[in-house]
Amino acid sequence: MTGSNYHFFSHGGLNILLDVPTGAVHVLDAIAARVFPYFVAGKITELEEDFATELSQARLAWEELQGLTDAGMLLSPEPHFSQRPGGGELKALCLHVAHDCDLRCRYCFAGTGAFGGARSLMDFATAKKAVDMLFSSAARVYEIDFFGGEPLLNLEVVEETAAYARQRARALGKKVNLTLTTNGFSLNKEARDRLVALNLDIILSHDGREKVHNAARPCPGGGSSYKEITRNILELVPLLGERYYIRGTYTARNKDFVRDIRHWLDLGLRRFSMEPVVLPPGSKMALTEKDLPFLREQYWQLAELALQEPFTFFHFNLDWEHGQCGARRAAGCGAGIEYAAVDPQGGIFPCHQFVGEEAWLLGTVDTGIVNAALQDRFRTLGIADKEACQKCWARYHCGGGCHANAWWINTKLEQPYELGCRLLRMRTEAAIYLKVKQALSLNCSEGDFHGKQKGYKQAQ
Amino acid sequence: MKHVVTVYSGEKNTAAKGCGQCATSCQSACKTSCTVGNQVCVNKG
Repeated sequence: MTGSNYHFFSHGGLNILLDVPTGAVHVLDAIAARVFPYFVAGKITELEEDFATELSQARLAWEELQGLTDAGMLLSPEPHFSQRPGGGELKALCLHVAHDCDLRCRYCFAGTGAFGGARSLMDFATAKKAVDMLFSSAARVYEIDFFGGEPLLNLEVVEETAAYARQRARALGKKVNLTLTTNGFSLNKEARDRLVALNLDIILSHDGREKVHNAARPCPGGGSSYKEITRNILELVPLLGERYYIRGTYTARNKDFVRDIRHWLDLGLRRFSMEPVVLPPGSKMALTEKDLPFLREQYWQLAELALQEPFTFFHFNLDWEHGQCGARRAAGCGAGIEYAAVDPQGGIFPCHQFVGEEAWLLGTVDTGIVNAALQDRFRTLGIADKEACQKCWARYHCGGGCHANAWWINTKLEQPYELGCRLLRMRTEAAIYLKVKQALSLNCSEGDFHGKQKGYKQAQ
Repeated sequence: MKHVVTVYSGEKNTAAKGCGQCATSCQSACKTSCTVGNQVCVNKG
């Protein structure tokens, strides 16, 4: 049951009610769950007729729902934000230090690493200019991700650039966070030692079970990559503490992706994301609407697994205490404004998924961002600018979705990728359910929260 | 007997205009369709 500013769903014996604008989450017992549709519709007369035998409890539930509404935690009004928080300064760069790759992944959005162009590496002079451009903005916290293709093919430039960025941040009294995304295939001992010395956050691509991984992520000659990459990852991860994520992709060929996550757990890995592949309809690996019921069950299974074993699944990380503010959530992805990607030749693009397409060129590291008309298209892509988002209960959880996915699937930046939206809503329901279960287990006996709400923020 | 338990009281979004210093969604951790719901406020985190 969903309205423009609430979402109600039941799973695992819990009736969960989300207030969309504030993100407040309530758990309703059976009678409150039945009363809620009457409350939303303002049908007090009908309530008295339909709940004749349990009217006193129904009225109490109604009063509690009214109390939450009066307190601004239910059916709350939609907030309005006139501009991006902070004004929209550039603060994050994706540096494509290598447009080449030592794998040939079947679903690669980057044309197996070359992004539709010649295979090439970024030189340090270009990387330095990119860092200088980034640091010329008024932001206080910067992010730089070393990306490709495969960035380990250009590790020396990664090292020089990381050192330079840190030196500049110190000199300017600012902070810079560095990450590197790698397929792990070239992570021999020397590369591993150099990577650890760089002290980065590292994203390691791996697809889970051997058969699944090898089918999706072969070597250039078609050979398998699982054994080498798995060994490399398992040798690296113990040296990283919590500064890593395993990043997997599921496709139509491994819709049972929880088994791939189970495989990671069996390997001793504890921090990961597993993302749905985004491919045009008709591709053999593309997910379709028919897959959704099965995938929904997968997310529920994953939530149950998370209750049994300690691990961090990136997309279940709903940080209720330290999450982002409303303005940030309404603004959505910062691509083209706060975030940009730089190709090996110094071309600037709205994000890594637009790299290689001349139509999306914002400028170069020599000129800076000069295509103001293109940049302006990205300024008005918040949830208020997207009709589909206005009706979606998950809008403050996704911020309007991925602009690149919207473009590549619909050729409209303002029209979100619907299949992705539906998957996100499933995933978000599972994440909320998990958080609720965890919260209740800390404070209550299983299946009985009445009168045991100590520690919760109660409705007045 | 309570019929409704509030597990999370929610952000007062109307008052939260933001400093703009937080991550911009997609540049970390997964590289495709990361969501703002997973990100942390740099001032609260």
